[in-house]
Amino acid sequence: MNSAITIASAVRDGHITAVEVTDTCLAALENAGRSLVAVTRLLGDRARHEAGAVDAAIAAGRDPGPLAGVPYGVKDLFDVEGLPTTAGSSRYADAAPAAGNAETITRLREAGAVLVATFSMDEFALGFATINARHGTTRNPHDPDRLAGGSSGGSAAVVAAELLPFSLGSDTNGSVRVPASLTGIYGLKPTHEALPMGGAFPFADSFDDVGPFALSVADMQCVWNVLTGTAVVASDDEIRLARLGGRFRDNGDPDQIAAIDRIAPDAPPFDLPDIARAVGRLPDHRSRRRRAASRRARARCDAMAFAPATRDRLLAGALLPETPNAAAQEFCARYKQMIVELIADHDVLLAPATPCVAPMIAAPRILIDAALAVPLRRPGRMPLGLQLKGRPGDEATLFRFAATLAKKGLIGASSPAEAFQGKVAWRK
Amino acid sequence: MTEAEPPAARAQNLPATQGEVATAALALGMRIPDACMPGELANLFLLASHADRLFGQGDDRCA
Repeated sequence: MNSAITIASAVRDGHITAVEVTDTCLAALENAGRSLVAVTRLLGDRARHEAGAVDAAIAAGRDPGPLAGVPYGVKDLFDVEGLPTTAGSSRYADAAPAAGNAETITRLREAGAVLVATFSMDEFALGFATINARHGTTRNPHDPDRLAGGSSGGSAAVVAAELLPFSLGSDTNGSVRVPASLTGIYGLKPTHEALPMGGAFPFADSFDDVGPFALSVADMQCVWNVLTGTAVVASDDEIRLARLGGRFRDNGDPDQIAAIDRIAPDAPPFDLPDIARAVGRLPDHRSRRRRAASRRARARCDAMAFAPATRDRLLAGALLPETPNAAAQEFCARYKQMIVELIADHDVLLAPATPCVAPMIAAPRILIDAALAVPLRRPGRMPLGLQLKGRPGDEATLFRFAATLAKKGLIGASSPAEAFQGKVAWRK
Repeated sequence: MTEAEPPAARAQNLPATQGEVATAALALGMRIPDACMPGELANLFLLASHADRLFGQGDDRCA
């Protein structure tokens, strides 16, 4: 797969048309994408229409945008005009079609990108595996017997399989970083509310974020620029590193720890206080409660219409009394402020993104707002990622640091080409 | 280094038995189908252990 930047350049320069790129991409998704159990809807007519508009703009001498003719897809929770927004649930398969596009899709379209497909996810994003009762289990392109991670597993798998240069997922509690690590690509959990959530199915307002997947730092930064409407400012300032210790270091894979020590041998270890209380527990209280509240009325009426695991979580969340929920929110606000103050002297914190290769147990979110999952370069082995955690609003430093690591050959996506070209018999 | 103080221990009152689950659900105008009860009890047990840790009363080993 060519990079997004390369495709856009070729389309703008007339070396290939956006429609040709789209048709090639749709054919690949029809074959390999479906065998990955990643694609839920191919948007052929819509995609060709968007691609045609890009080609028409070029023919008329107009600037088609920085992502001219670049194909991409989105997790099943983004509004796509004319289609039901399912959030991965059979319950919404026949919902009323969305009246418009999610704001992120609109921004990408204005930049010339072409939406070609929607991708599978855990129902209501309640999971880290992309095991979907309706669509099946999304496969890891590096080994189809392994999970791709979740909940944005479909979006990650197609990028890892190099069927698309980028895609959109969402991250409420690790749903971008986990599949990015397990499939060996870049995944960004941006600063909370840095990217527009308009038209994206809500789960937990205080945690939900749109997050892109990409095969390179350069593509990630290009997509970021489009989605934010800003350009990352170049800088030569020294990047102050720290290595997260405690549970992060204790639970990491030896290869991750070795990579972190190689990247930043002199960086101070950094332990987050109260991590056991804050990490695994707080999001559960808050998100379960909020998710349940938003769907309680529906679950009350027809609980059995939900997949069993989802149903049981939603109903249990609905039964959670207000007291611990309010205490969790109060604690969260104080903890978040404390973390911001604690990390003020560091630009990037290094930590494992997941504690092992796929399948795995999720490494949850720790209330540090921005995090970029990067793939360790380890060709021929199952992917494993690190998290570069940054200060709120400072994605630019994360991109800059990741670019230096990529230039040194320490990180980078590895191609799983043999697998998705069909030489391996995929099993559903 | 400033420590975030854990919330003071408060009554959590999470339903823990079939009867308590049914009562709590009824108060919200809900009925828990029989098929859901084992899953509800398991999830509420998990949430209770999360609450214990949040309130500083739990076992941090597997956090």
